[in-house]
Amino acid sequence: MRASGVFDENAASSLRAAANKAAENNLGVIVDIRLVKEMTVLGRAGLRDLQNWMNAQGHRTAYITRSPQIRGAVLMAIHGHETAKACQTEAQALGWLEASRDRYELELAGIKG
Amino acid sequence: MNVQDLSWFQRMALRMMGSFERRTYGYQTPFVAELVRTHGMGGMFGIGRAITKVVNDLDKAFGTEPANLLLGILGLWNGCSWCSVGHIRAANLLRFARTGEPYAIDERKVPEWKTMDFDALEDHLVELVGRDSDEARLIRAAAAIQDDRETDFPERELVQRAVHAWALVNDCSITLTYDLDPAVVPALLPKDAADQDARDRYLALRPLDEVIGD
Repeated sequence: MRASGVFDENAASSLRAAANKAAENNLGVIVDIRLVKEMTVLGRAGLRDLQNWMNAQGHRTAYITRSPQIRGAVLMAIHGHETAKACQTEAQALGWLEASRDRYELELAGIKG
Repeated sequence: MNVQDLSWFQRMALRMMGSFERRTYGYQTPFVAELVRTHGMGGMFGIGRAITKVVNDLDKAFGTEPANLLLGILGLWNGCSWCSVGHIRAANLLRFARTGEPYAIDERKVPEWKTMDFDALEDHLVELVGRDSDEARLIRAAAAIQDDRETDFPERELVQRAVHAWALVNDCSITLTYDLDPAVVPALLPKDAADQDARDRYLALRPLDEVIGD
């Protein structure tokens, strides 16, 4: 699933519709928003709704971003959800979907080295 | 994991911790309660201990000024205005107190930097600290690690631990700090890390209410 340009509530709705389709036969979803340059306040709320839905459906989700502003919006959307992660590359996203451990567990293990 | 409401005991404990923090640091970290809601009191202390160890190891390996610069840049990467502004301001204040010159990385530009592409931002920050400086090597290493690119940076493992630490911190901080005005973020240092005279002179050099651009 991809989005670009300005991410507003309409973009969030489109992603939600695409997620419905993409996730039908697949438990992992990659949301590629590397080309999103700006996110509106309603877009942020829409992203959070999308993530809440993914979480409720049990879909492991990777969001790919390429700027702090959009990555921060993703971090807000996935807060409290251990099966979603903000990634910077496609390889990271694929790696995340293939992994079985949850995000908080992985990060805490990573801090300890 | 569900984010839980705070119990009476947790609220009282947080109030005492906040009071201690204000006395020691002169400010209160705004997202400690969110860490407790997300990970529980025991989880928050466990994360706190692990993060303190990483920060101490960074201080030992790189020195306090570059260590704070790195933490600020990791916060910037994650879009957190509290961590990015606060740690870069701390690095600048310490350097300014020691040498009379802060880093060219001016924390007041964080809102502008947050809109940049990661690659362009890395180049820009490296340019500001000087391409051949130790700080530039640190920034390059952090950016490479964030992207899972190869790096021959000798302290790679330590920077990787810091990346994980800030991923956990910013998971909670971002809910409160995404839109924060840089002017309200203190230098994230203990009160006694820089004297009042240095703090006043730094503030005069980089006033908080001055709108700036590149």
